[in-house]
Amino acid sequence: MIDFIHVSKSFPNGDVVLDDIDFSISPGEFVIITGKSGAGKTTIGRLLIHDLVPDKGKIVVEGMDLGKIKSQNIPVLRRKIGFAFQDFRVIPDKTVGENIVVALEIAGYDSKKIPEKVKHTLNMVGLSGKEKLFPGQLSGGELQRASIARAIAAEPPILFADEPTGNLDKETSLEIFKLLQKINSDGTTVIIATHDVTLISLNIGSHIHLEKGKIVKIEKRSEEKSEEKEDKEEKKEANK
Amino acid sequence: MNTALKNIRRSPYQALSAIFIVSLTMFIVGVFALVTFASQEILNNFETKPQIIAYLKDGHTTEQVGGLLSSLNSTEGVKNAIYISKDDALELYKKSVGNDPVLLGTVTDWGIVTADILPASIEITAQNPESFKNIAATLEKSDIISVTPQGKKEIDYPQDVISELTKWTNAIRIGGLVLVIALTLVAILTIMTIISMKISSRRFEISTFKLMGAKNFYIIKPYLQESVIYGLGGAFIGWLGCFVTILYSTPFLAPRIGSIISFPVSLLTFATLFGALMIFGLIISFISSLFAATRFVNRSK
Repeated sequence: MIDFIHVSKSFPNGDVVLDDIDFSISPGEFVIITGKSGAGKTTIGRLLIHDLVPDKGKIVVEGMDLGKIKSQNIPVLRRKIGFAFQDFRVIPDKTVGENIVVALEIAGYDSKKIPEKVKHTLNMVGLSGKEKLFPGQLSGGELQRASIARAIAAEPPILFADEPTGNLDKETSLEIFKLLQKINSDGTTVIIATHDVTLISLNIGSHIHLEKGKIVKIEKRSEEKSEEKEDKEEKKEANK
Repeated sequence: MNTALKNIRRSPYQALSAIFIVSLTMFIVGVFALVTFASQEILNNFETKPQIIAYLKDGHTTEQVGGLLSSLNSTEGVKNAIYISKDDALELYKKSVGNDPVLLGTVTDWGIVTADILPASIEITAQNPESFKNIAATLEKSDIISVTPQGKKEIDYPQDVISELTKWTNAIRIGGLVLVIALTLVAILTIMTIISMKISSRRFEISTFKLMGAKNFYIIKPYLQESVIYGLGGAFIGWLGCFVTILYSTPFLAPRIGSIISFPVSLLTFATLFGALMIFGLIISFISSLFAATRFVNRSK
Protein backbone atom coordinates (compact mmCIF):
# COMPACT_ATOMS: atom_id res chain seq x y z
CA MET A 1 0.00 0.00 0.00
CA ILE A 2 1.27 3.45 -0.94
CA ASP A 3 -0.29 6.60 0.49
CA PHE A 4 0.54 10.13 -0.50
CA ILE A 5 -1.35 12.37 1.93
CA HIS A 6 -1.45 16.08 1.03
CA VAL A 7 2.14 16.04 -0.13
CA SER A 8 3.82 19.21 -1.35
CA LYS A 9 7.35 19.68 -2.58
CA SER A 10 9.18 22.68 -3.89
CA PHE A 11 12.79 23.09 -4.91
CA PRO A 12 15.26 25.53 -3.34
CA ASN A 13 14.74 27.98 -6.23
CA GLY A 14 11.10 28.26 -5.16
CA ASP A 15 9.58 26.18 -7.98
CA VAL A 16 6.61 24.20 -6.67
CA VAL A 17 6.93 20.67 -8.07
CA LEU A 18 4.11 18.98 -6.20
CA ASP A 19 1.20 20.86 -4.70
CA ASP A 20 -1.01 19.09 -2.19
CA ILE A 21 -0.89 15.67 -3.87
CA ASP A 22 -3.21 13.09 -2.36
CA PHE A 23 -3.63 9.54 -3.65
CA SER A 24 -3.22 5.94 -2.64
CA ILE A 25 -2.16 2.83 -4.53
CA SER A 26 -3.28 -0.65 -3.51
CA PRO A 27 -0.99 -3.67 -3.58
CA GLY A 28 -0.84 -5.26 -7.03
CA GLU A 29 -2.28 -2.18 -8.73
CA PHE A 30 -1.13 -1.00 -12.15
CA VAL A 31 -0.90 2.79 -12.14
CA ILE A 32 0.07 5.15 -14.90
CA ILE A 33 1.05 8.66 -13.86
CA THR A 34 0.97 11.03 -16.78
CA GLY A 35 1.84 14.65 -17.24
CA LYS A 36 4.11 16.91 -19.22
CA SER A 37 7.79 17.26 -18.43
CA GLY A 38 8.15 19.06 -15.09
CA ALA A 39 4.66 18.06 -13.95
CA GLY A 40 6.17 16.22 -10.95
CA LYS A 41 6.05 12.55 -12.07
CA THR A 42 9.72 11.81 -11.34
CA THR A 43 9.49 13.73 -8.07
CA ILE A 44 6.79 11.29 -6.92
CA GLY A 45 9.21 8.43 -7.61
CA ARG A 46 12.06 10.15 -5.81
CA LEU A 47 9.82 10.85 -2.82
CA LEU A 48 8.80 7.20 -2.86
CA ILE A 49 12.40 6.03 -2.39
CA HIS A 50 13.22 8.86 0.04
CA ASP A 51 15.65 10.43 -2.40
CA LEU A 52 13.67 13.59 -1.74
CA VAL A 53 11.80 14.64 1.37
CA PRO A 54 8.41 16.38 1.12
CA ASP A 55 7.97 19.89 2.48
CA LYS A 56 4.47 19.07 3.66
CA GLY A 57 2.30 16.00 3.94
CA LYS A 58 2.84 12.37 4.72
CA ILE A 59 4.00 9.42 2.63
CA VAL A 60 3.44 5.84 3.76
CA VAL A 61 4.96 2.93 1.83
CA GLU A 62 4.34 -0.66 2.88
CA GLY A 63 3.48 0.55 6.37
CA MET A 64 6.58 2.73 6.68
CA ASP A 65 5.95 6.40 7.42
CA LEU A 66 8.71 8.06 5.40
CA GLY A 67 8.58 11.17 7.58
CA LYS A 68 9.67 9.09 10.55
CA ILE A 69 11.97 6.65 8.80
CA LYS A 70 15.39 6.19 10.40
CA SER A 71 18.44 6.54 8.16
CA GLN A 72 19.39 2.87 8.65
CA ASN A 73 15.94 1.86 7.34
CA ILE A 74 16.20 3.83 4.09
CA PRO A 75 18.03 0.94 2.30
CA VAL A 76 15.27 -1.39 3.55
CA LEU A 77 12.64 0.88 2.01
CA ARG A 78 14.56 1.17 -1.26
CA ARG A 79 14.87 -2.59 -1.54
CA LYS A 80 11.06 -2.77 -1.48
CA ILE A 81 10.85 -0.56 -4.57
CA GLY A 82 12.42 -1.57 -7.86
CA PHE A 83 13.23 1.65 -9.68
CA ALA A 84 13.66 1.71 -13.44
CA PHE A 85 15.29 5.08 -13.93
CA GLN A 86 14.53 7.46 -16.76
CA ASP A 87 18.23 7.55 -17.69
CA PHE A 88 18.45 3.76 -17.04
CA ARG A 89 21.40 4.16 -14.63
CA VAL A 90 22.82 0.81 -15.67
CA ILE A 91 26.49 0.63 -14.71
CA PRO A 92 28.33 1.09 -18.02
CA ASP A 93 31.38 -1.03 -17.22
CA LYS A 94 29.38 -3.96 -15.90
CA THR A 95 27.69 -6.42 -18.21
CA VAL A 96 23.92 -6.80 -18.26
CA GLY A 97 24.30 -9.89 -16.09
CA GLU A 98 26.60 -8.12 -13.62
CA ASN A 99 24.14 -5.24 -13.31
CA ILE A 100 21.48 -7.71 -12.26
CA VAL A 101 23.91 -9.48 -9.92
CA VAL A 102 24.43 -6.15 -8.13
CA ALA A 103 20.68 -5.81 -7.53
CA LEU A 104 20.50 -9.35 -6.18
CA GLU A 105 23.56 -8.88 -3.95
CA ILE A 106 22.07 -5.67 -2.56
CA ALA A 107 18.86 -7.56 -1.82
CA GLY A 108 20.92 -10.14 0.05
CA TYR A 109 20.36 -13.09 -2.27
CA ASP A 110 22.27 -16.28 -1.65
CA SER A 111 25.29 -16.14 -4.01
CA LYS A 112 24.68 -19.73 -5.14
CA LYS A 113 21.20 -18.87 -6.34
CA ILE A 114 22.22 -15.68 -8.15
CA PRO A 115 23.28 -17.17 -11.55
CA GLU A 116 19.98 -19.01 -11.92
CA LYS A 117 18.04 -15.93 -10.87
CA VAL A 118 19.91 -13.74 -13.39
CA LYS A 119 19.07 -16.19 -16.16
CA HIS A 120 15.43 -16.29 -15.13
CA THR A 121 15.14 -12.49 -14.97
CA LEU A 122 16.79 -11.97 -18.36
CA ASN A 123 14.49 -14.57 -19.84
CA MET A 124 11.51 -12.80 -18.33
CA VAL A 125 12.40 -9.43 -19.90
CA GLY A 126 13.39 -10.98 -23.23
CA LEU A 127 17.13 -10.49 -22.93
CA SER A 128 18.19 -14.14 -22.92
CA GLY A 129 21.68 -14.61 -24.29
CA LYS A 130 22.62 -10.94 -23.71
CA GLU A 131 23.97 -11.52 -20.21
CA LYS A 132 27.57 -10.87 -21.18
CA LEU A 133 26.91 -7.75 -23.26
CA PHE A 134 27.82 -4.32 -21.94
CA PRO A 135 25.16 -1.58 -21.84
CA GLY A 136 26.94 0.21 -24.69
CA GLN A 137 26.27 -2.78 -26.92
CA LEU A 138 22.50 -2.69 -26.39
CA SER A 139 19.76 -0.88 -28.28
CA GLY A 140 17.51 1.65 -26.53
CA GLY A 141 14.74 -0.90 -26.04
CA GLU A 142 17.18 -3.52 -24.74
CA LEU A 143 18.69 -0.99 -22.38
CA GLN A 144 15.24 -0.24 -21.02
CA ARG A 145 14.60 -3.95 -20.58
CA ALA A 146 17.95 -4.31 -18.79
CA SER A 147 16.99 -1.46 -16.49
CA ILE A 148 13.63 -3.10 -15.76
CA ALA A 149 15.33 -6.47 -15.28
CA ARG A 150 17.62 -5.00 -12.65
CA ALA A 151 14.67 -3.32 -10.93
CA ILE A 152 12.58 -6.51 -10.71
CA ALA A 153 15.36 -9.09 -10.25
CA ALA A 154 15.01 -9.20 -6.48
CA GLU A 155 11.22 -9.37 -6.75
CA PRO A 156 10.37 -6.14 -4.94
CA PRO A 157 6.66 -5.66 -4.19
CA ILE A 158 6.66 -2.31 -6.01
CA LEU A 159 8.13 -1.30 -9.38
CA PHE A 160 8.41 2.34 -10.33
CA ALA A 161 9.25 2.82 -14.00
CA ASP A 162 10.19 6.38 -14.86
CA GLU A 163 9.50 7.15 -18.53
CA PRO A 164 10.00 3.53 -19.57
CA THR A 165 8.96 4.26 -23.14
CA GLY A 166 10.72 7.59 -23.55
CA ASN A 167 12.78 7.82 -26.75
CA LEU A 168 11.55 4.43 -27.94
CA ASP A 169 9.64 3.73 -31.13
CA LYS A 170 5.96 2.86 -30.88
CA GLU A 171 6.45 -0.85 -31.38
CA THR A 172 9.20 -1.13 -28.75
CA SER A 173 7.18 1.06 -26.38
CA LEU A 174 4.30 -1.35 -26.65
CA GLU A 175 6.60 -4.31 -25.96
CA ILE A 176 7.94 -2.61 -22.83
CA PHE A 177 4.41 -1.80 -21.77
CA LYS A 178 3.40 -5.42 -22.20
CA LEU A 179 6.42 -6.49 -20.18
CA LEU A 180 5.35 -4.19 -17.34
CA GLN A 181 1.85 -5.63 -17.54
CA LYS A 182 3.33 -9.11 -17.31
CA ILE A 183 5.31 -8.11 -14.21
CA ASN A 184 2.13 -6.67 -12.71
CA SER A 185 0.21 -9.84 -13.48
CA ASP A 186 2.66 -11.66 -11.16
CA GLY A 187 1.46 -9.48 -8.27
CA THR A 188 3.96 -6.61 -8.34
CA THR A 189 2.54 -3.13 -7.90
CA VAL A 190 3.62 -1.28 -11.03
CA ILE A 191 3.74 2.50 -11.24
CA ILE A 192 4.61 4.03 -14.59
CA ALA A 193 5.49 7.69 -14.87
CA THR A 194 5.19 8.75 -18.49
CA HIS A 195 4.42 11.67 -20.74
CA ASP A 196 3.30 9.20 -23.43
CA VAL A 197 -0.48 9.60 -23.33
CA THR A 198 -0.97 6.94 -25.99
CA LEU A 199 -0.50 4.35 -23.22
CA ILE A 200 -3.70 5.65 -21.60
CA SER A 201 -5.63 4.82 -24.72
CA LEU A 202 -4.85 1.15 -24.06
CA ASN A 203 -7.21 1.55 -21.11
CA ILE A 204 -5.14 -0.53 -18.73
CA GLY A 205 -4.72 0.19 -15.03
CA SER A 206 -5.42 3.25 -12.95
CA HIS A 207 -4.50 6.68 -14.21
CA ILE A 208 -3.27 9.74 -12.38
CA HIS A 209 -2.77 12.86 -14.42
CA LEU A 210 -0.62 15.70 -13.18
CA GLU A 211 -0.45 19.28 -14.33
CA LYS A 212 1.97 21.77 -12.82
CA GLY A 213 2.35 19.66 -9.70
CA LYS A 214 -1.36 19.15 -9.09
CA ILE A 215 -3.46 16.07 -9.65
CA VAL A 216 -6.10 16.97 -12.18
CA LYS A 217 -7.50 13.50 -12.77
CA ILE A 218 -7.59 10.14 -11.00
CA GLU A 219 -9.18 7.12 -12.68
CA LYS A 220 -9.20 3.95 -10.60
CA ARG A 221 -9.65 0.61 -12.31
CA SER A 222 -12.31 -1.79 -11.17
CA GLU A 223 -12.17 -3.21 -7.66
CA GLU A 224 -12.77 -6.62 -9.16
CA LYS A 225 -9.42 -6.51 -10.98
CA SER A 226 -7.64 -5.30 -7.87
CA GLU A 227 -8.93 -8.21 -5.91
CA GLU A 228 -7.76 -10.55 -8.65
CA LYS A 229 -4.25 -9.07 -8.35
CA GLU A 230 -4.29 -9.38 -4.58
CA ASP A 231 -4.99 -13.07 -4.95
CA LYS A 232 -2.01 -13.39 -7.32
CA GLU A 233 0.20 -11.48 -4.92
CA GLU A 234 -0.78 -13.78 -2.09
CA LYS A 235 0.10 -16.76 -4.27
CA LYS A 236 3.46 -15.13 -5.11
CA GLU A 237 4.22 -14.58 -1.44
CA ALA A 238 3.34 -18.20 -0.75
CA ASN A 239 5.73 -19.32 -3.53
CA LYS A 240 8.63 -17.32 -2.01
CA MET B 1 37.28 -9.14 -4.37
CA ASN B 2 36.76 -9.22 -8.15
CA THR B 3 35.63 -5.60 -8.09
CA ALA B 4 38.70 -4.64 -6.03
CA LEU B 5 41.03 -6.38 -8.50
CA LYS B 6 39.19 -4.77 -11.41
CA ASN B 7 39.67 -1.35 -9.75
CA ILE B 8 43.41 -2.03 -9.48
CA ARG B 9 43.64 -3.11 -13.13
CA ARG B 10 41.79 0.03 -14.20
CA SER B 11 44.36 2.37 -12.63
CA PRO B 12 47.64 0.46 -12.31
CA TYR B 13 49.78 3.55 -11.73
CA GLN B 14 47.74 4.61 -8.72
CA ALA B 15 48.00 1.07 -7.40
CA LEU B 16 51.76 1.09 -7.98
CA SER B 17 52.26 4.37 -6.17
CA ALA B 18 50.19 3.13 -3.21
CA ILE B 19 52.11 -0.13 -3.01
CA PHE B 20 55.43 1.69 -3.42
CA ILE B 21 54.79 4.10 -0.57
CA VAL B 22 53.49 1.34 1.71
CA SER B 23 56.51 -0.83 0.81
CA LEU B 24 58.89 2.00 1.63
CA THR B 25 57.13 2.64 4.93
CA MET B 26 57.18 -1.04 5.80
CA PHE B 27 60.85 -1.35 4.83
CA ILE B 28 61.78 1.57 7.08
CA VAL B 29 59.57 0.20 9.88
CA GLY B 30 61.23 -3.21 9.49
CA VAL B 31 64.77 -1.84 9.45
CA PHE B 32 63.97 0.43 12.39
CA ALA B 33 62.55 -2.50 14.33
CA LEU B 34 65.64 -4.60 13.65
CA VAL B 35 68.03 -1.75 14.51
CA THR B 36 66.14 -1.06 17.73
CA PHE B 37 66.27 -4.72 18.61
CA ALA B 38 69.99 -4.91 17.79
CA SER B 39 70.89 -1.75 19.69
CA GLN B 40 68.94 -3.00 22.70
CA GLU B 41 70.88 -6.26 22.51
CA ILE B 42 74.18 -4.39 22.32
CA LEU B 43 73.22 -2.21 25.26
CA ASN B 44 72.11 -5.24 27.27
CA ASN B 45 75.39 -6.93 26.44
CA PHE B 46 77.39 -3.99 27.76
CA GLU B 47 75.23 -3.70 30.83
CA THR B 48 75.52 -7.39 31.72
CA LYS B 49 79.28 -7.58 31.27
CA PRO B 50 81.54 -6.79 34.26
CA GLN B 51 81.40 -3.08 34.20
CA ILE B 52 83.99 -2.08 36.79
CA ILE B 53 87.46 -3.55 37.00
CA ALA B 54 89.74 -2.63 39.89
CA TYR B 55 93.37 -3.80 39.53
CA LEU B 56 95.04 -5.03 42.67
CA LYS B 57 98.56 -4.42 43.97
CA ASP B 58 100.91 -7.38 43.96
CA GLY B 59 101.34 -8.99 47.35
CA HIS B 60 97.75 -8.66 48.57
CA THR B 61 96.45 -11.31 50.92
CA THR B 62 93.36 -13.48 50.68
CA GLU B 63 91.96 -11.82 53.79
CA GLN B 64 92.36 -8.37 52.23
CA VAL B 65 90.56 -9.53 49.08
CA GLY B 66 87.82 -11.18 51.17
CA GLY B 67 87.36 -7.96 53.13
CA LEU B 68 87.09 -5.90 49.95
CA LEU B 69 84.61 -8.34 48.40
CA SER B 70 82.41 -8.32 51.50
CA SER B 71 82.44 -4.53 51.67
CA LEU B 72 81.57 -4.40 47.93
CA ASN B 73 78.74 -6.89 48.35
CA SER B 74 77.25 -4.67 51.04
CA THR B 75 77.54 -1.61 48.77
CA GLU B 76 74.29 -0.48 47.19
CA GLY B 77 74.03 -1.15 43.45
CA VAL B 78 76.47 -4.07 43.33
CA LYS B 79 75.02 -7.05 41.50
CA ASN B 80 78.08 -9.24 41.57
CA ALA B 81 81.78 -8.95 42.53
CA ILE B 82 84.40 -11.59 41.76
CA TYR B 83 88.12 -11.92 42.31
CA ILE B 84 90.27 -12.57 39.23
CA SER B 85 93.69 -13.93 40.21
CA LYS B 86 96.82 -13.55 38.07
CA ASP B 87 96.31 -17.08 36.74
CA ASP B 88 92.67 -16.31 35.93
CA ALA B 89 93.83 -13.16 34.16
CA LEU B 90 96.23 -15.20 32.01
CA GLU B 91 93.41 -17.60 31.11
CA LEU B 92 91.19 -14.68 30.14
CA TYR B 93 94.02 -13.25 28.07
CA LYS B 94 94.52 -16.55 26.30
CA LYS B 95 90.81 -16.75 25.61
CA SER B 96 90.74 -13.27 24.19
CA VAL B 97 93.65 -13.81 21.78
CA GLY B 98 92.74 -17.38 20.95
CA ASN B 99 95.53 -19.82 20.20
CA ASP B 100 97.58 -17.33 18.24
CA PRO B 101 101.19 -18.31 19.11
CA VAL B 102 102.46 -14.89 18.05
CA LEU B 103 100.16 -13.06 20.46
CA LEU B 104 100.68 -15.62 23.18
CA GLY B 105 104.43 -15.11 22.86
CA THR B 106 104.15 -11.33 22.68
CA VAL B 107 107.15 -9.71 24.24
CA THR B 108 106.10 -6.77 26.36
CA ASP B 109 108.23 -4.31 28.31
CA TRP B 110 108.15 -6.85 31.07
CA GLY B 111 108.93 -9.89 28.92
CA ILE B 112 106.76 -12.68 27.45
CA VAL B 113 103.15 -12.63 28.71
CA THR B 114 102.91 -14.79 31.79
CA ALA B 115 100.68 -14.83 34.84
CA ASP B 116 103.28 -12.85 36.77
CA ILE B 117 103.09 -9.76 34.63
CA LEU B 118 99.26 -9.64 34.66
CA PRO B 119 97.60 -7.93 37.61
CA ALA B 120 94.96 -9.60 39.73
CA SER B 121 91.68 -7.72 39.80
CA ILE B 122 88.17 -7.47 41.15
CA GLU B 123 85.41 -7.44 38.51
CA ILE B 124 82.14 -5.90 39.53
CA THR B 125 78.79 -5.99 37.77
CA ALA B 126 76.51 -3.13 38.75
CA GLN B 127 72.74 -3.19 38.84
CA ASN B 128 72.66 -0.01 36.77
CA PRO B 129 75.13 2.54 35.42
CA GLU B 130 73.99 5.07 38.06
CA SER B 131 75.67 2.95 40.79
CA PHE B 132 79.13 3.20 39.22
CA LYS B 133 80.20 6.24 41.19
CA ASN B 134 79.03 4.73 44.48
CA ILE B 135 80.96 1.51 43.82
CA ALA B 136 84.05 3.40 42.70
CA ALA B 137 83.96 5.32 45.97
CA THR B 138 84.08 2.05 47.95
CA LEU B 139 87.02 0.86 45.85
CA GLU B 140 88.87 4.15 46.34
CA LYS B 141 88.91 3.51 50.09
CA SER B 142 90.67 0.15 49.70
CA ASP B 143 94.47 -0.07 50.21
CA ILE B 144 94.99 -3.10 47.95
CA ILE B 145 93.95 -1.30 44.76
CA SER B 146 96.87 -0.60 42.49
CA VAL B 147 97.88 3.05 42.00
CA THR B 148 99.01 4.64 38.71
CA PRO B 149 102.29 6.62 38.56
CA GLN B 150 100.05 9.70 38.58
CA GLY B 151 98.74 8.64 41.99
CA LYS B 152 95.29 7.55 40.81
CA LYS B 153 93.66 4.26 41.80
CA GLU B 154 93.51 1.86 38.85
CA ILE B 155 89.75 1.51 38.55
CA ASP B 156 88.25 1.15 35.05
CA TYR B 157 84.62 1.68 34.46
CA PRO B 158 83.14 2.39 31.07
CA GLN B 159 80.78 5.07 32.27
CA ASP B 160 81.29 7.05 29.07
CA VAL B 161 80.80 4.07 26.77
CA ILE B 162 77.54 3.09 28.45
CA SER B 163 76.16 6.59 28.58
CA GLU B 164 77.18 7.20 24.95
CA LEU B 165 75.58 3.94 23.90
CA THR B 166 72.41 4.76 25.81
CA LYS B 167 72.38 8.18 24.18
CA TRP B 168 72.79 6.66 20.72
CA THR B 169 70.17 3.99 21.35
CA ASN B 170 67.68 6.61 22.48
CA ALA B 171 68.53 8.83 19.52
CA ILE B 172 68.00 5.91 17.12
CA ARG B 173 64.70 5.09 18.81
CA ILE B 174 63.40 8.66 18.71
CA GLY B 175 64.71 9.34 15.19
CA GLY B 176 63.35 6.06 13.91
CA LEU B 177 60.02 6.61 15.59
CA VAL B 178 59.67 10.09 14.07
CA LEU B 179 60.56 8.68 10.64
CA VAL B 180 58.11 5.80 11.02
CA ILE B 181 55.31 8.12 12.15
CA ALA B 182 55.99 10.50 9.26
CA LEU B 183 56.08 7.70 6.69
CA THR B 184 52.98 6.07 8.17
CA LEU B 185 51.12 9.36 7.81
CA VAL B 186 52.33 9.68 4.22
CA ALA B 187 51.19 6.11 3.48
CA ILE B 188 47.78 6.73 5.09
CA LEU B 189 47.33 10.00 3.19
CA THR B 190 48.41 8.37 -0.09
CA ILE B 191 45.95 5.49 0.28
CA MET B 192 43.23 7.91 1.38
CA THR B 193 43.83 10.14 -1.64
CA ILE B 194 43.86 7.22 -4.08
CA ILE B 195 40.73 5.65 -2.62
CA SER B 196 38.97 9.04 -2.50
CA MET B 197 39.85 9.63 -6.16
CA LYS B 198 38.56 6.21 -7.12
CA ILE B 199 35.34 6.62 -5.17
CA SER B 200 34.86 10.10 -6.55
CA SER B 201 35.27 8.82 -10.12
CA ARG B 202 32.59 6.22 -9.45
CA ARG B 203 30.11 8.66 -7.92
CA PHE B 204 27.40 7.70 -10.43
CA GLU B 205 27.73 4.01 -9.61
CA ILE B 206 27.70 4.65 -5.86
CA SER B 207 24.62 6.90 -5.97
CA THR B 208 22.86 4.26 -8.13
CA PHE B 209 23.71 1.57 -5.59
CA LYS B 210 22.37 3.75 -2.79
CA LEU B 211 19.13 4.37 -4.70
CA MET B 212 18.84 0.62 -5.17
CA GLY B 213 19.00 0.17 -1.40
CA ALA B 214 22.62 -0.83 -0.92
CA LYS B 215 23.99 -0.60 2.60
CA ASN B 216 27.09 1.53 3.08
CA PHE B 217 29.22 -1.53 3.76
CA TYR B 218 28.24 -3.11 0.43
CA ILE B 219 29.41 0.06 -1.33
CA ILE B 220 32.69 0.53 0.53
CA LYS B 221 33.66 -3.16 0.65
CA PRO B 222 35.51 -3.25 -2.72
CA TYR B 223 37.47 -0.12 -1.76
CA LEU B 224 38.42 -1.61 1.61
CA GLN B 225 39.54 -4.79 -0.15
CA GLU B 226 41.55 -2.80 -2.68
CA SER B 227 43.23 -0.84 0.07
CA VAL B 228 44.00 -4.00 2.04
CA ILE B 229 45.67 -5.41 -1.09
CA TYR B 230 47.88 -2.29 -1.13
CA GLY B 231 48.61 -2.67 2.58
CA LEU B 232 49.44 -6.36 2.49
CA GLY B 233 51.29 -6.15 -0.84
CA GLY B 234 53.34 -3.21 0.42
CA ALA B 235 54.05 -4.96 3.73
CA PHE B 236 55.25 -8.08 1.91
CA ILE B 237 57.57 -6.10 -0.39
CA GLY B 238 58.85 -4.06 2.59
CA TRP B 239 59.55 -7.26 4.50
CA LEU B 240 61.27 -8.77 1.46
CA GLY B 241 63.44 -5.62 1.32
CA CYS B 242 64.40 -6.09 4.98
CA PHE B 243 65.13 -9.77 4.42
CA VAL B 244 67.40 -9.11 1.42
CA THR B 245 69.14 -6.19 3.17
CA ILE B 246 69.93 -8.29 6.23
CA LEU B 247 70.99 -11.21 4.08
CA TYR B 248 73.46 -9.11 2.11
CA SER B 249 74.74 -7.14 5.10
CA THR B 250 75.36 -10.27 7.21
CA PRO B 251 78.99 -10.69 5.95
CA PHE B 252 79.63 -7.09 6.98
CA LEU B 253 77.83 -7.17 10.33
CA ALA B 254 78.78 -10.65 11.56
CA PRO B 255 82.49 -9.92 12.28
CA ARG B 256 81.62 -6.63 13.96
CA ILE B 257 78.67 -7.46 16.22
CA GLY B 258 78.56 -11.21 15.80
CA SER B 259 79.65 -11.79 19.39
CA ILE B 260 76.61 -9.87 20.63
CA ILE B 261 73.92 -10.75 18.08
CA SER B 262 73.86 -14.16 16.48
CA PHE B 263 74.20 -14.28 12.70
CA PRO B 264 72.60 -15.28 10.41
CA VAL B 265 69.42 -13.70 11.82
CA SER B 266 67.03 -16.47 12.81
CA LEU B 267 64.02 -17.44 10.75
CA LEU B 268 61.87 -16.83 13.81
CA THR B 269 62.98 -13.19 13.84
CA PHE B 270 62.09 -12.84 10.16
CA ALA B 271 58.77 -14.61 10.69
CA THR B 272 57.93 -12.31 13.60
CA LEU B 273 58.88 -9.29 11.50
CA PHE B 274 56.73 -10.61 8.64
CA GLY B 275 53.70 -11.02 10.92
CA ALA B 276 54.18 -7.61 12.52
CA LEU B 277 54.56 -5.81 9.17
CA MET B 278 51.53 -7.59 7.70
CA ILE B 279 49.40 -6.58 10.69
CA PHE B 280 50.73 -3.02 10.52
CA GLY B 281 50.05 -2.87 6.75
CA LEU B 282 46.56 -4.22 7.26
CA ILE B 283 45.78 -1.69 9.97
CA ILE B 284 47.00 1.41 8.13
CA SER B 285 45.36 0.42 4.85
CA PHE B 286 42.09 -0.48 6.51
CA ILE B 287 41.93 2.70 8.58
CA SER B 288 42.81 5.01 5.69
CA SER B 289 40.34 3.48 3.23
CA LEU B 290 37.59 3.19 5.81
CA PHE B 291 37.98 6.87 6.61
CA ALA B 292 38.02 7.92 2.94
CA ALA B 293 35.16 5.66 1.86
CA THR B 294 32.87 6.29 4.82
CA ARG B 295 33.33 10.02 4.51
CA PHE B 296 32.32 9.93 0.84
CA VAL B 297 29.47 7.45 1.15
CA ASN B 298 27.94 9.31 4.09
CA ARG B 299 27.98 12.47 2.04
CA SER B 300 26.21 10.95 -0.97
CA LYS B 301 22.47 10.32 -0.68
